[in-house]
Amino acid sequence: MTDYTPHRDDRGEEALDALLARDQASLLVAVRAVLDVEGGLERLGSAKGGVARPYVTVQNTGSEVAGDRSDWQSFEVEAVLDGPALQGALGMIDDLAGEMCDAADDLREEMYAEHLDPSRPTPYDLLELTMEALLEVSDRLSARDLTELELTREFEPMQRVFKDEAEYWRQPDRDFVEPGRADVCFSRALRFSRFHAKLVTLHAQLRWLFEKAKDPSLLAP
Amino acid sequence: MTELPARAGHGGPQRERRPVVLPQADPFADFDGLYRSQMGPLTVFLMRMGASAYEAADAAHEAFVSTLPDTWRSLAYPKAYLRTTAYRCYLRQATSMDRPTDPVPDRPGGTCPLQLLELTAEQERVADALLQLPFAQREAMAWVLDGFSYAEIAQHLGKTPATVRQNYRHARIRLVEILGLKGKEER
Repeated sequence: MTDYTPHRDDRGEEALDALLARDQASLLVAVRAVLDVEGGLERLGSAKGGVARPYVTVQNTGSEVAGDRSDWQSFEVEAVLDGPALQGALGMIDDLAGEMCDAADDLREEMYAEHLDPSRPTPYDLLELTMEALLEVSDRLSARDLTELELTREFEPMQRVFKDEAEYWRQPDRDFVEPGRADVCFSRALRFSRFHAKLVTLHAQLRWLFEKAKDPSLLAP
Repeated sequence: MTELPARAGHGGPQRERRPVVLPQADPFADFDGLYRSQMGPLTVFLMRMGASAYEAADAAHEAFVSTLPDTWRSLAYPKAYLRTTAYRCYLRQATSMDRPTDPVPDRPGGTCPLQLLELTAEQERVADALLQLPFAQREAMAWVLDGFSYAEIAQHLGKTPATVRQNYRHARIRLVEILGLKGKEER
């Protein structure tokens, strides 16, 4: 170790040094091997003014998503009925999350291209659709007299997250891509990626609420 | 591990003329160099501080973002800056949720290659042992393992070198106990 010189007796200091040295070296090798530093740097973009790509790819939730990218526009928040239809609304959120994944993947691919497809969804487009679906589910759950769930309190943080995020992305020309500003592009990609993680969390929360709604016994404190 | 610095004057006078070797390019002279040289160690450092690989990579990248576009050029101690900044980013992640309906945490998002990282049994053993240390001891251990001297650690953490040294010494004693190394010889 650096400037600490332990007594070389039987107190286990040498064994500790050996173990820590071995561990530090092997962990660094393992991290570097998986981290793909060059790839990460490539996606981070050049500090000299290149266009950054997000180092993270948005995780696909495994939902079935329409193959044609243009189909994202076909997602509409339809009337959500009680019972199984509520499950359908959750499925819609699944789909929208999947759309976000696809869009992010596409964006990642396109960021190196000069030409960006103008028909692709912007982050705000996707947020708007997702928020509508979530609010619809929220309304339906509220309408089921589930006051014990304190839905208002529980949905508030969700809605605040979406509102804040929507406000951010609603700004003119706010997109992942801002040529020549690697820092901006990377920050936005990171932000959107984190938002997606929140979406997945919200989705889990909704499912939990839905399960409680189906089984009133779960409402017992 | 940390390598001891070369001692001035070691080896006595040179007996033969050696070719002039130009110093290697400063790895921090450009952002790419800084990223290449520090991303791995920074991630490991955060893991030493208690982050998962996933959390560590996210916080490390956030720290790098904070140095763009030009801040990195003016950093006097880029290694230390990245570590203190990344650790604050990690603390802000606040990933815990006690109940499914708790407020949504600001989790690191998306997929991260480091999710693929599988620790060996020995690495997990060391990580678990480090997590059992009191914070100050774990902090000292993480910085020392990352190659910083007591004086450097003290400077960046606002402590005295003696305090850092003491924390490090206690950390070693605890680790020997936790890892069951007492009486064992170096393998």
